Amino acid sequence: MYDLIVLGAGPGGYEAAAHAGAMGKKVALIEKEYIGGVCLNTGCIPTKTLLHSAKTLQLCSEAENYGIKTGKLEVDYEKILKRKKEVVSLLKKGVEGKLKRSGVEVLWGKGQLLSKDTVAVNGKSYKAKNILLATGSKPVVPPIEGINSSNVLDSTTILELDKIPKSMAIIGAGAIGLEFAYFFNKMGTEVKIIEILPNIAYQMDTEITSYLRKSLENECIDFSLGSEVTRIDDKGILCTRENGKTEMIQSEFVLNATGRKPNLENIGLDEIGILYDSGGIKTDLQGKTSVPGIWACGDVTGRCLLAHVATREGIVAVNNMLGKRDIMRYKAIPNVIYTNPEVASVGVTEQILKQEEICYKKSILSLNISGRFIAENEKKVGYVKVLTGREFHEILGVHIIGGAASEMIFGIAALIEMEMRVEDIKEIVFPHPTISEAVKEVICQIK
Amino acid sequence: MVTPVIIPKLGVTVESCSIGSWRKREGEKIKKGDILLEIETDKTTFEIEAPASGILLGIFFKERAIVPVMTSIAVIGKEGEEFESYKPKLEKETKEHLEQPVKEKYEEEKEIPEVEKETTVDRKTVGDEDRTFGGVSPRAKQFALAHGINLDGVTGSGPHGRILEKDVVKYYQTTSRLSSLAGKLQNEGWTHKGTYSGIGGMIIRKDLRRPGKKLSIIRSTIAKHMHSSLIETAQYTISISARANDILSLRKKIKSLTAEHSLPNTTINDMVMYAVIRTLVSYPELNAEFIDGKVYQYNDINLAFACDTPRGLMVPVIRSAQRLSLEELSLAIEKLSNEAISGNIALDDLTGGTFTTTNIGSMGIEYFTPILNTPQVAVLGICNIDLKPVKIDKNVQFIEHIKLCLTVDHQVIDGAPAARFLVALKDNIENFTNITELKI
Repeated sequence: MYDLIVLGAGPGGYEAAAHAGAMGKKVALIEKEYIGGVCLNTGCIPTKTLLHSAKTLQLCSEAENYGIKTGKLEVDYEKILKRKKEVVSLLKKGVEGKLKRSGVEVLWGKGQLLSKDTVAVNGKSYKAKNILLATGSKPVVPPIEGINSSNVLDSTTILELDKIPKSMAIIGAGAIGLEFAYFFNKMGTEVKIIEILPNIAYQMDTEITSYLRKSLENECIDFSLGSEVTRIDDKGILCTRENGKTEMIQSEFVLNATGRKPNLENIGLDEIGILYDSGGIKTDLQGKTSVPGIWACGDVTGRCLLAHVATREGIVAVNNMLGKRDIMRYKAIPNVIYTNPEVASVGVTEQILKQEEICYKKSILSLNISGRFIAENEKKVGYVKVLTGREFHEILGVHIIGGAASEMIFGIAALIEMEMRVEDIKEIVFPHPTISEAVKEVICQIK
Repeated sequence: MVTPVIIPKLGVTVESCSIGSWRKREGEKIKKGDILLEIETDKTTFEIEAPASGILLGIFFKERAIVPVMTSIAVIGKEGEEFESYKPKLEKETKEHLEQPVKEKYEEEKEIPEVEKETTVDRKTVGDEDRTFGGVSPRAKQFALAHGINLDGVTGSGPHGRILEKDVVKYYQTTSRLSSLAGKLQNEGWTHKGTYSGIGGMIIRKDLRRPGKKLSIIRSTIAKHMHSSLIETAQYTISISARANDILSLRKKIKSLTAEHSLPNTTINDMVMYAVIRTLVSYPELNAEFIDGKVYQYNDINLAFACDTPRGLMVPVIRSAQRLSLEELSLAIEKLSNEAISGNIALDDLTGGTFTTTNIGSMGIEYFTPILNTPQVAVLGICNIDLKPVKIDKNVQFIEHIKLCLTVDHQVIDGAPAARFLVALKDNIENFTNITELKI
């Protein structure tokens, strides 16, 4: 009898397993493919490795702006892919070490619920007091004619390309689509993004993402917004625009980046009677499903498809199952797009405040107010935007484009979690010269 | 010459009232007849006019102070005139009473005695106006200020509940932390709901509720009265419907004749109340009060009726209603309603009822359970008029009926007598022309 069996070794599952193990519990972690899940093997980590190569290339190509002359720049794609593999394998070892140190037993195979407290793996059944479902998500395959053609890739299969494509059409301008667009564009691929919505990265603040779109357009990435893909065939991709006009786009490869959906199949949800719909397994803020003793975290719940959210949800669930009251809060979840410039945001966006008719105050500032930004970002775009409550001036959301936005955003998450007001933040000392000074400045402008 | 502003005697039963909002400030020039302030009793509010012209030299009581009637609450006179002698003695006593405990010395304070004087003043700014005894030690005060603690939540362990430093330290160490915003909100009077939703169980904004609105004196009197009615009686409600053709056709006639014959505008409600009076004459056990285990039956029917006013629910009383004709009753109801709505009603007209009616039928209510106006033993709820199918010979006809709900106290009145009364009332309404002498 285990204290906990976890299904899925992604950032939700393995962190939860390690957490429970570190607390002295008997834990089994079931994984069918690889430790680290999509995040470590085919998601966050490999793409960030690729993106760093692209960013390095960009920095070198702009080196002259900073008084450095370089020779002809060349891309060694084989080396880029090799490095990606090395980074992933190094990190995987790190995770395996962590699981080992926490005393977590890894069971290889596909886990399936047999009852409220029993899981079958490879024909053998295991009992546990608690079961955590962390089976993750997979790319959505939209109902488009020809979507299964051999030249249509998804975020996993695109990593298997061994050559840089000449041209690529990307369906979907979310974080995944935008990051691959930036990467392949830098590698020399002709990139076109097709998005059904009028804005890119619709979950982020549209004022900030409009700067990202302009910046990427300057890098010769082509956007076709408000445009729906109706067919994919030998001749190309047929798109229908909002006004009814159609457009034929030619490209060597097509990347389907239309989103992800929870992995709900063949884990025994119906047999046990766990409440779910196509959006995911229903959970409360403690991670409980409708069946006592069975918990869920991460993408499979469909609440918020981000690795860091999955990790926190998993730990919240473990804390609660072990008797420590804990609760998931979603009001300060950071969100990042790792393009160059990168976009990072936390808290609520202006479009949501408007939609929900919440009274707010707003301030937006160019990062050029920061000496360090000017010194290090020749001809680069950078903005920071803050949204606060109108009555009490508490921070509701901060959205940044440019600089090391992603590395600053956790601090603002803390400000939101602590319900800090503009008046309080004025008392915090920010280091000089840093880009973070612009964050303080924009907050102090709220009156 | 100095003229004091004195709270008038407001009725036989009123001993004190609450100072409402002052319309004028100290030092302001005023004319005789200007409205100086509002005062509240447990039944209504009154406006107090300036008894003379001049300068408002002094105001002796702040808002919400409870003051006995016939007390001088302010003075009017010429600039610079002496008025201290008009200050009521009562206020001085209260002041001394407040100051006394603070003057006492406690050992732990000896180290910083010079702060002591300020303590009494500062204490209020920390938000504990209601603490009249004990006070706060200077060291406790300093700790509270340094750590942003609202002393309202701290229980004092010193003499007379005095808050000592150790009380504040203990409070600081044992209570949950507040987010920056929540701390500010708590100081503004927001209160904790009992949840802890922030990091590490921190109290954040959503764990607090906005400051509630204090009930007016009238409202809290109603609240107490209604609550004790439900606690102290065994009330139940029965209902019936009465054919309304008679009263409806009478109403129609009266309406068409009102202008010509200067008749009072007798409403359906007036007619039902009239029928109630006529029925009560034969059923005196419902025209009664139940006090301390004794039943008091009355020959005089002092009919109370619920009246919706801008100040809240008021219940004017028509005395010896059995002596009134329908027209006289209508006039009495109209007069008392107007007075209640405008706030000019005499307090004696709000007391002494022996049976109560309440009518929300005009708003379309079909059934409700009126609450007894204790110590009365019965209350009648008058509901709307609706069509009801009635079988006549072999046909069904739709006839207008008025619905009536009678709440009685089962401690005194059983189901059968209550039913008999209600049936008799139904008969009187259905045959209204038999009980009224109104000749049209």
